[in-house]
Amino acid sequence: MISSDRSPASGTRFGRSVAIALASGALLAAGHLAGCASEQPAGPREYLDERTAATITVAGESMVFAYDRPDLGVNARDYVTLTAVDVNTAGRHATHLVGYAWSTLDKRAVKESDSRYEIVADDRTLPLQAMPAGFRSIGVDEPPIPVPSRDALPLTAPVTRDQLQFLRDTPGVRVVRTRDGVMERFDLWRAPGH
Amino acid sequence: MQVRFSAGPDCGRATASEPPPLLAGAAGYVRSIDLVRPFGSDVQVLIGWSRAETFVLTPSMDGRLLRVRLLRAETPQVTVQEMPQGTSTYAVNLASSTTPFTPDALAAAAKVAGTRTYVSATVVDEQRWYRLRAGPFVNEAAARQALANSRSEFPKAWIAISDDDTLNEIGTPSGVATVRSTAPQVNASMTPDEIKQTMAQAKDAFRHKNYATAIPLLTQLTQQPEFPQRADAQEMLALARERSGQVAHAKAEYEDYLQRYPTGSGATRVRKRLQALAWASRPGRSGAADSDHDESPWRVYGGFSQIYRQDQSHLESGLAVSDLTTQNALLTDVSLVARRHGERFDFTTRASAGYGYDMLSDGPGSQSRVSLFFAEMTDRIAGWYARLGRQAGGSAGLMGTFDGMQAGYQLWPRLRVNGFFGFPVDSTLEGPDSERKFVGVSADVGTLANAWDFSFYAVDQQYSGVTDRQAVGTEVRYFRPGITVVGIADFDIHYSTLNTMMLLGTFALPARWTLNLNLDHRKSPGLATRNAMIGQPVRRFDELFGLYTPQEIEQLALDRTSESTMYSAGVSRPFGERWQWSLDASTMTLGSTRESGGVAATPASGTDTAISTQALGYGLFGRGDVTSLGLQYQTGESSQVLSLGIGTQLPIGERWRVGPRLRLDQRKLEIDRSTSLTYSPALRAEMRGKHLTFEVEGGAEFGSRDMGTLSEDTNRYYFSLGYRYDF
Repeated sequence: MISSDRSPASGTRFGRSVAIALASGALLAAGHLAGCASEQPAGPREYLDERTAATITVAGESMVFAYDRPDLGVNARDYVTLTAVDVNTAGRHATHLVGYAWSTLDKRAVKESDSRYEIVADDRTLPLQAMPAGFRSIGVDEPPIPVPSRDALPLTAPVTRDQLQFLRDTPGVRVVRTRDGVMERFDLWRAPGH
Repeated sequence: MQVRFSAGPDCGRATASEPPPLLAGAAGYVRSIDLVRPFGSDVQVLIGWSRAETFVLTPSMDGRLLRVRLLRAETPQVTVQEMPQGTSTYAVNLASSTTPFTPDALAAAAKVAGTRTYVSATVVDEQRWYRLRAGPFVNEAAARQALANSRSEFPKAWIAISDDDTLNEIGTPSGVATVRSTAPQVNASMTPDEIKQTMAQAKDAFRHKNYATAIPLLTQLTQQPEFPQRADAQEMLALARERSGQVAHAKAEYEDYLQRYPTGSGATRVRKRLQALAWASRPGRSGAADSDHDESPWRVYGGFSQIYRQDQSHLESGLAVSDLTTQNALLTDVSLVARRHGERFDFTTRASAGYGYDMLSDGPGSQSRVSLFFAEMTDRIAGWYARLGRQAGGSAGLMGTFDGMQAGYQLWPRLRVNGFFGFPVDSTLEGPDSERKFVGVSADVGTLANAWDFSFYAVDQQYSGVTDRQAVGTEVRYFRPGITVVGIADFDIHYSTLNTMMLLGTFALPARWTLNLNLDHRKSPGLATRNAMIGQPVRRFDELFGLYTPQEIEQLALDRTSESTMYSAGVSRPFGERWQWSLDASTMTLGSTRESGGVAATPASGTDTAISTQALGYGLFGRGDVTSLGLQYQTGESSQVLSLGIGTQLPIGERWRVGPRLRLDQRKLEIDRSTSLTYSPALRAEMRGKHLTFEVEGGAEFGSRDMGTLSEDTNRYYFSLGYRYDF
């Protein structure tokens, strides 16, 4: 699994810079894969989270994965939106992928049940942890990206620069949701800059 | 001091014997350190102090160390101890592939990495992957060194930690020399003959629904190393547990099956069973009851609905004022489907009927209708089916509903032949009419090249002994991911003329654009001898024979039949996650008809052209709402119409949906140069429960027409209220 690769990307200024650059690069690379390389993603954005006193650096725009449900709606879908962030808590840096699982499908059309999300790149998987109460436990209170809908489920995963690099270099990165033993694949819907 | 750790997924697999923790540097403070595994992956560290201590525990930043700070009156001392030999073992994953690595690749990789290599296998997202690895290494530093050595040759190399059997093997890394199966071999206690015998016993018990006997036998089988029928044994075990009401165990077995055999022959079936189990275990459903229900080969479902509708119009034209109620009715509909799914035969019967209770004194009167009423039998082994009763046509040259029979036989795997006979139904308000009857045959060919399906048909329809329609035709369907094309051609051999030619296509283009094309050229109405009745003072077809010769009747039919041609094209694509935009353009031409038999000619309609665009927004106000914005311009020889529409459907709570909408139409009529403007607001609300749905809708149309010296105002109000019960 991707998370087994414990690269010391955090803890140094260099590590933080590289991590964010790679995060941007990984997300940009996904844009190349989608065939829209001419557009550039927005640059990293930094803000001070006033509740956690952490400095949050957000890597450009989000990447979005979509799961089509043509049986339930022609244009409505389930989505997972993710972005990479560096959380600087008093000089201690940690890089995370954060985002939301959300949907534009009518609730009545789908059954709700416990779900497990993970990013899959080739044979490596990166589990995304559901955080229904928000990102506070990783030092983020103010959401780094807009909350897509009221019932969006926050997701996060710690990442290293090696993992981000692997994501960048791997075509066909996707998110897989497992619920009730059934796997549902979210393909890349929108990459940064699109 | 007791500290309990919950091992994460990357912390390595638990081993039966943990090395005793070292007390280096802690002598004098610590009397003992013990590791205990209370349950699961938890690890409990028990530290016995040499004397009573006050202490503070602090985890390190990376979570790999635990600092214990003793708080003593004397000079404080901090003890930091990292495990010299971590419980994890490491490897460098040099490359991953969906095909196995050759021994040569293994040897070449070993040369590059400067250490041993091996291959492990794993399943990710239902895909089996082979991993070419260097190692194992006992510490991360050695793994990182090997990674550095390999990066130039294997740019996507990464460090793996205790994530395969090789890395989790108890013993020294030097013991790794061969590739082993990833399947755990729990209890390899049975010989092949015993496996065969036990499998037979288990199958026999399963067949006789003796699950109590089958389950232990199958459990024993699934504990054996991989053997050819192991997948079958595990599927049977899961099914036996499910039918015994052991839902959780069944679910676990199904999930394990999918992990082991993601592409196995039964994987699709197992996935469906698992989905069905999950659905059945939803809150509000009784597992036992549903289990029993699922055992029944019968499924019966349907619905009953009643809706009250009222429609009123108010017209003011100059000094004239009129009020009119155009509808005041209670509409009742019922539908019923009963299916029996057997080992060999499937039986389906379906009925759909309605009754309209007209409360107008001068209305059309109360009417009943039967839309569908048929029974169907299918023999899946022999490959035939037959359906008898009132049914929908629409294919093989059968236009609309008919009373009759159709049957088919699968002659070869890619050829099915069908036969039809019956009586066309002009109106579902009426019963069978044997005056007009047809027979037809068709052949369905396909699927060829994984994309093409063809149907060829011939149909002969007689009306009072006269050929009404005699046609041959074909339907061609092409389905490929991203491309769908359907073509239909119908040629009337009696009149020697093309009746219908239609081509529909949908194409997925780059950047999520979708292109739709529709080319449609047809006789209007569809060519049939009965068209001769149009405009004639007769109520029955055979009355024409007293007025015209058969040749004259056929000529009248041709004269009353026009031709229509329609071309349309549209593009659409999503914008972002919430919007879908489409643009459509179409033209339609309706040809003229000749004067004959006392019926006046009708001129050609000219070409009507319409262009429309629509934007659909999803989840703009929350989850599940849909908003539409539409604009259309239509122009022809008789009028120009500009329309604007906006509407939305908003969820309110779990059950209610409210949908307000508004439409504006501006119309210019060429005939009198008048202009009309119509506003049409409406509101619809719906409450859907588990079986019961209520709906209410109300709306109005406020129209004003300016004819220069005269103006006309038309107001229309409509209202409906109803419910539907589905079972």
